[in-house]
Amino acid sequence: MRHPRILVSSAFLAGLCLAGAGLGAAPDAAAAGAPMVASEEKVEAAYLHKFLNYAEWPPAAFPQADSPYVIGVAGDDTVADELARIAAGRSVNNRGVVVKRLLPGDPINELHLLFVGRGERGRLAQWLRPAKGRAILTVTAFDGALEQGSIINFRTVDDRVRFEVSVDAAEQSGIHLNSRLFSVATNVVKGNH
Amino acid sequence: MFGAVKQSISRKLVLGVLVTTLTALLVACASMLVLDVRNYQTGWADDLRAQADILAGVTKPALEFNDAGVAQENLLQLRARPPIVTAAIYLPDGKVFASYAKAPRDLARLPKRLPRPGQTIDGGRIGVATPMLRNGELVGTIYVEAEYPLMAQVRRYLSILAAVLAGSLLVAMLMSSWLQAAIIKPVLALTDAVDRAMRKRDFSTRVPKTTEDEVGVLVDAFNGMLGEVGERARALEESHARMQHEMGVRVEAEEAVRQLNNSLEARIRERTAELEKTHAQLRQSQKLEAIGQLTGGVAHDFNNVLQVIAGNLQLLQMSLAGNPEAQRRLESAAFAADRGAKLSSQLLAFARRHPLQPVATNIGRVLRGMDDLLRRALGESVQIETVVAGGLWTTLADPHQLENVILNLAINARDAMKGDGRLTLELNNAMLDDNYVLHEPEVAPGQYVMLAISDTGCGMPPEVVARAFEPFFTTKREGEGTGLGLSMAYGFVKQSNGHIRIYSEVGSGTTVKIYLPRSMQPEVELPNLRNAPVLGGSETILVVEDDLAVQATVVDMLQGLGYRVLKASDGQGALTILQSGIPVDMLFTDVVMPGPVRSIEVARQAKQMLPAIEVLFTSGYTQNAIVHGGRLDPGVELISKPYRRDELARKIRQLFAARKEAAVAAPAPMPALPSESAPPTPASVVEAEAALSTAARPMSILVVEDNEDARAMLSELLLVLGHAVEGAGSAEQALEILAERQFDILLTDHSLPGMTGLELARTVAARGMGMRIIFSSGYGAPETPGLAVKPAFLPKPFTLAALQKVLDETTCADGA
Repeated sequence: MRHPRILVSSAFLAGLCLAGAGLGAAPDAAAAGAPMVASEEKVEAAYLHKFLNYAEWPPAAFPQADSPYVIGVAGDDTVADELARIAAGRSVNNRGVVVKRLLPGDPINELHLLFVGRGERGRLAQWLRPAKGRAILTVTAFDGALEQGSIINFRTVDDRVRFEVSVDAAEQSGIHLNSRLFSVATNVVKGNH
Repeated sequence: MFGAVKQSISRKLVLGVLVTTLTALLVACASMLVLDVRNYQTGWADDLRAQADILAGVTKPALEFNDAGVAQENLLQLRARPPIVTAAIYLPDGKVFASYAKAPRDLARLPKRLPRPGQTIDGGRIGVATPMLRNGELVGTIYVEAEYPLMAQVRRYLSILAAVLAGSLLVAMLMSSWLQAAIIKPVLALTDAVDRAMRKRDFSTRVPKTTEDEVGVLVDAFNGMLGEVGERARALEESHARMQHEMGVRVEAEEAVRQLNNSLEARIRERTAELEKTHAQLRQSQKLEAIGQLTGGVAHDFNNVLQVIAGNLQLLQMSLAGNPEAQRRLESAAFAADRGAKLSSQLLAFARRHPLQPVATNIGRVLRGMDDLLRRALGESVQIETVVAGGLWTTLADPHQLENVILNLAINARDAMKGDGRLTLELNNAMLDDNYVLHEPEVAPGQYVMLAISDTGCGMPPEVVARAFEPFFTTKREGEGTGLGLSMAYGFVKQSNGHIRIYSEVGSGTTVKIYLPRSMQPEVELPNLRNAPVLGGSETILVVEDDLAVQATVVDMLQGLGYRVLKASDGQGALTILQSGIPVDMLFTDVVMPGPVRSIEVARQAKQMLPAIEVLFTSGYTQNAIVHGGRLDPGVELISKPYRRDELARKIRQLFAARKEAAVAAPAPMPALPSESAPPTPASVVEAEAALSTAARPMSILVVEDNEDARAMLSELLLVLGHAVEGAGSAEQALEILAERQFDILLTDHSLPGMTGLELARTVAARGMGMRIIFSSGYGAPETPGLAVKPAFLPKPFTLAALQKVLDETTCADGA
């Protein structure tokens, strides 16, 4: 089980972090210089895309072998836009990635990943409830969201976007998370809340 | 040489094994090294890559989610791998995301830019860069750099290799020595045996066979070869030894030849001297032989001359019987003729034609008997020494003639000593060996009795010695000697089968050595006739003599000596007397007698009737039935006419003494008679006086004589004797005469010009005319081979009586 890391605060490391943020934003060199001021949303969008690599859905989650990952983004358009930009033209595990902007009340049946952004803070429970027990990787960006049943929750540590993982929630939803994900998580919740 | 080979083979083997091993090991080790380095390289690189991959896998989330701390933590895990020096994770833009260094200074070594994927090797470091991909997108690159101790590794490998090589070589060496023992040992044994066999040349050794491999085959082959070689070597050695022996012999021969060559000159000189000596001897003896023949010829002619003289003197004596003055002169002339006859006799002695009566004689006794005679002959001032060796052998020689020789030599010595000096007579036994005889061609080797007569006189130079035996060669003044003494001695010795040498040195003296052959018969005792007193006797002697004058003389002589004398005129009369039973002690008979009974027959019958009777022959000449080869038959006693009274007396006494000795009878007392020193009347004169009776049966005689004087004289003598005579000067003329007329007797000279007397006699005998043949010769008794009729001989010079006797004998033989 992984413990939260306390990173050495230094200019060098900060640079690295910035660079890492930029990495997810744009592959080209021109873009690399700019994302030093990359927003939290962009990093979260990149992370969302990368989570697809560390999670395994049950086969029933995909109607066809080449069915795309469907990611629903609620309450944060910036993230949705960014994610859409990242996913465009890219495949993960030979599957395409489809990004949906969700509004409250939108069905989440066909989703594989559900991100509830800051705009939907109040309706968090409403978003999480239908997802519960379903093979949907729920990702939130609120402190204490894991207690409400989120599987992955973004947190900002030392001005950097980090996340925490609930193994129990993942297990309930039937999604198998790669243990390597745990090594970079600030907190891995397992067992009791 | 085999030692070197032995070492060489074993060394070669070891070297071969080592080189092979070394080469194989080197190749193996080199390839192993290469392989190992490569393996190390790839292995280490793979290892590093795997490490990088693992790190990439582990670190990928940290990279993706930008967690440098986790990445750093992950990299720190590399502490467990000390060889890894540095590691770093690069972002795709080349920025270092996380890094690790074993030592802080190593950080500087990290690549400044994004390393390319793959491996880089740089100075003992190896770096591996592995790209980290996510869905085909590069998310980062991990770079791991580790120490790369390749050279150390290589060094390590090399040291291991060296150790392995050393160990392998050691093992290989051990192996090779073992192999050497297994393989080389039989070979060494073989070479040892070969070495031994070669060194000792001992091909009887055999190499023990220890293996059944190729060496075993070689050993068998070598043993076989050794046997073969041994046999060959033995054969070779034998031939070598043989050759060496031959070489030795050759070398010896060469040495001998060399020595011979060295001494050749000396030997040639020596041999030449010997040859010259021998040649000189031969020349000498040939010369003497030639001179002997010459002398014989001279004597022959001399005899002829004497014969004429003496015959004519006799005729004159008869015709001048009443003139005392003439008779005295005639006697004087006859005496001279007699001397001439003696001289002639000496010449004949030199020519070896003198009749000898050799008996087994002790010369010592002869010498002793001559003592007085020599003293008288040599005079008072000459000392005489006689040295007679003990155990002297007897020799076969005529003692009387030997006495003559000794006397002559003694007189020569006296003359050489001028009457003053010492005469030494030595007698001893001597051996003439082959070596001595080598230079004396006419001498037979054997046992001799040597008589040496040495004087202390003036000696003779060699040239005189060389001619000393030649007759009439004399150094004495005329009238002192005849020069016949040594010649006579020479003739006598040669005729006696002896040997004579003269050794002389001028001023010292002369030695004459006479060698006379040894006789194995016992010595015949001879009384010293010359010096024995003239003894008479009382025995009965039957005198048979047809010549009445001679008979009367002899009867007178014997009666004067005291003997009883019976007389007969022929053989028949003698036999009658003997058969009458009158005891007769001696038969004294002429050899040649008329009548049917020959003197030899009378003697034979007398011996039969009276075994004790002594027989003494007498003859005017010697060549008759009882003389063979100049020597009397053994056991025959003869006294030659003319003899002197004392000679006859001694001879008779000698015979009786021998008989008495044999019969062991006491000698009858003999009246001693005074010795007669005066020379007696020459017998020939006496005989001539007594023979003046004519022949009872006149015969016709053909006289063949080339000397006219002699022919005329002989014819006259025969006419005096009452015979009819015809003369012929040659054999051819005689044959012409014989063709016309018939003769009773052919009286021929032996040597005639043209056809010889012998040839004439042969021709006449071959015609079978029944003629008697008489040879007359001055040469003594010639051989008459191939003559059918037995001839009579009449030696010159002959007396009338002798002539008459021959004629009578011839007639008797005719009648018989």
